[in-house]
Amino acid sequence: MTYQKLQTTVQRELLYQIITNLRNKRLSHSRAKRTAQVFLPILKSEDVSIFLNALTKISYSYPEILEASIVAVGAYEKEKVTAGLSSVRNFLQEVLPSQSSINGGLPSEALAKGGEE
Amino acid sequence: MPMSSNVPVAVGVDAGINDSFSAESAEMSKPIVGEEHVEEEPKETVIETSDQILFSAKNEGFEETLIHLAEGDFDPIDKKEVGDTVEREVELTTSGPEKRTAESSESAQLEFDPEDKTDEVPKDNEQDVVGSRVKDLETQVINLEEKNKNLLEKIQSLESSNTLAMQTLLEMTMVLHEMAKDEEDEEKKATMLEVLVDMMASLMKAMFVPEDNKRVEGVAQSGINHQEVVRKGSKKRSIDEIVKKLRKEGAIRSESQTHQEGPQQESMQQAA
Repeated sequence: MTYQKLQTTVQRELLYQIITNLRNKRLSHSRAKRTAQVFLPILKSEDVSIFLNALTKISYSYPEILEASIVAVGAYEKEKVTAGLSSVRNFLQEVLPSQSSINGGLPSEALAKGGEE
Repeated sequence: MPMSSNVPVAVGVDAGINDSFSAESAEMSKPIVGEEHVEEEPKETVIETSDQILFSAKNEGFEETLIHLAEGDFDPIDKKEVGDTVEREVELTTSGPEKRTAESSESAQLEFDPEDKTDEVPKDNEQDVVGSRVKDLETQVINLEEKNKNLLEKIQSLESSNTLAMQTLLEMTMVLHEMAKDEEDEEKKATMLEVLVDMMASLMKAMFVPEDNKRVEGVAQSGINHQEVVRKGSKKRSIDEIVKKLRKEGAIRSESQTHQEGPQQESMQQAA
């Protein structure tokens, strides 16, 4: 998930929370407006880490932003970990066949299966 | 985290945003029990606002919607700072006294319809009846005159071929009103005022339905239907008939004596 996608997901989840809470009378209109006003400036953050830090800060005061960030950042982290694991697996698949024949390590097929599981 | 557990995780955000968003909109209507209480707002307003946000999110995008929300574009209409158009709409459509006057004049007209009720009303009460009719009509004229003052400014700003005719007609109504004020005979006064009201109604009609059958821009924005302005039950008279009647009644002595001139009369007839 790119930084842009992360921002879009947070925006989407935040709007979802705002609409849901407005309909269920858990959020007043003025509070929704204030939430949007607080959230919008952090979209201009230069990179993901600054964005996530700012998001965490304002999440303490605004439950809707907290809910949105939990969903969006959770998905972002999960995808990031999956991507990292995938790249590691690919790297090992490239490196290990030559090593496994020498050192008796795991065959590449077993690695691929384990990675898929 | 009661809400987020139901939220589908957006993997292909760009592709499936709108679909998942509209699917979630069905879930949003479900009530949630046992949550903290927030300040009371009218339920319709809240639902309207959330619908507006949802609609905007689907059409304009999330960031734009949040910007609109932050700028207060989804504010309830009563809290919203009204612009010129909205203000005019409120003034012209929901102004109480004019509406009440129209109803009262309608009932007065039914009550004093000469064909039905002339024989039934005793002659002793006839003077009182005419007097009350005059009062009703005078009230109506005053209200319409106030509206006309606003319309006069609007007319002057319009670039329309009907502008001159409408302005002339408006001035005629003012002159006729002055004459009606000075008239001592109650019956004549009532007749003059009735003609005056008809003229004003015709003026409004000419204003709201110009020659090219398009509404005046400002009026179209205010959403006024000219039929609301024309009195209910009043006979539709052309400007010619009104002018003829005025001449018979002596309201207009001649074309040269009054400040309405030949070309203006013609343009007035065009407006009719």
